[in-house]
Amino acid sequence: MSKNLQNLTDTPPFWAETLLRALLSPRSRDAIAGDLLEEYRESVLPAVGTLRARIWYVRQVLSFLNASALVKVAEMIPPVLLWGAGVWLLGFGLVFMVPYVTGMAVSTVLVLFAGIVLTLGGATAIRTLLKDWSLPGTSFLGFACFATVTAVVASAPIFRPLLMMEAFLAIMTVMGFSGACKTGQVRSGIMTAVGTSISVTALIVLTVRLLHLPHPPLASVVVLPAAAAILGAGGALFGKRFVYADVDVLILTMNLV
Amino acid sequence: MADVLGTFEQAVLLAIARPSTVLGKEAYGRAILKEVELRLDRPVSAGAVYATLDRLEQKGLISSETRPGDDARAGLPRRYYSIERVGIRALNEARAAVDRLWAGVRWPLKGAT
Repeated sequence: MSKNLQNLTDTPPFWAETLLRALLSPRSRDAIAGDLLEEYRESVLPAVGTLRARIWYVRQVLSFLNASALVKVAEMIPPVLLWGAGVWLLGFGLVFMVPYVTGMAVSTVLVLFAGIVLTLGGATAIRTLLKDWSLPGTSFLGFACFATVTAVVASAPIFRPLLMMEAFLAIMTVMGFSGACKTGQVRSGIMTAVGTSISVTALIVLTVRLLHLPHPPLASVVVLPAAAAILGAGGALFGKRFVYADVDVLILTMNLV
Repeated sequence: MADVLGTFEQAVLLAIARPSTVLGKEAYGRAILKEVELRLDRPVSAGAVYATLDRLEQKGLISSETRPGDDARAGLPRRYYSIERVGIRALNEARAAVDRLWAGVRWPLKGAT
C-alpha cells in the first residue's frame, strides 16, 4: 500500500472519535470531525507518524472537552451554586472525609490544608518570578503528590514506610521522565528528580519528628537523593525519546494521576 | 457599541475577512485554524477556534453554510464561514478602540520592565 493511500485510510483512535462526537452539538459534529480527520491525514500523519499523530488527535479532542463541554455545563449552572457546591465539598472533605479515612484529627487536617494552600501561594509567587516554570513546576507537583501520600500513610493507624518508599520510587521515576520530556535533556530530568527528592526528604524528616513515628535512623535519608538521581536518570532516558509538544498531554495525565 | 472583541476573536474574524494564505481563503474550520495560528504565531487548539466560531456566529458576526466533503475527510461535510457586515463593524471598532488607547503614546514604551 502506498504511503499516500495509507494516509487516506488511516483513522484516529476509535474511542477518541466517539468522544469527540459525544462532545459536539449535532449541528457541528460532522464538520468538525471532518476537519480534524482531514488535518490528521493530510498534515499531521505524514509529518510525525502514526503514534504522534494519534496523540495529536487525542489532544485536539481533549481541547473540546475543555473549551466546549465543561464551559457549557458550567455556564448552565448559576455561579452561586457552583461556588456553594465547591465550598460544601471542600468542607465535607476536610471535616468528615479525610479525618474518617486517615484517622487524623480534624485540626490536623485543617493545618495540613492550610499548609498546602500556603505552599501553593508560595509556588505561585515563585512562578511569577521565574520565566521558565516547567522544571520547578514539575518538581512541585511531585512534591505535592508525595506530601499527600505521606500525610495519608503516616497518619494511618498502622504506619507503613514501605508504601511511602514505593510512592517515592514511582514519583521519582516520573519526575525524571517528565523533566526530560519538557527539556529534551537527561540532565534536566535528573535535576528535577533530585530537586523533588530533597524537598521530599525534608518532608519525611519533619513528619517523623512531629508525629513521633517509628523510623529508621534519620541519617539514612541521605540515600534518597541518590536513589532519586538513579531513578530520575532511568525515567529521563525514557522521557527524552518523547520530546514533542504533544507529549504535554501525557505529562498532564501523569501529573493528574 | 457592541461588546469589545477579544484578541482571539479578532484573530478569528480577521482570518475569515482577510486570509493571507491559499488554504485560509477557503474559510472552513481547518483553514481558519491554520490562518489563526499564522496570525498569532503560536499553535492554537481546535477546541478554542471552534468555540470562538460558534460564539461569533451566535452574536451574528459571521454566518456559515455546509458543503459536501472529499475522500480525505471520509465524505464528511465542510462548514464554510463568511463575515457579516456586523462583524466588519465590530473589527473596525476593536481597531479604533486600540488606536484611541494608544493615541499620543510613543511605541515601543521605554523604561523599567
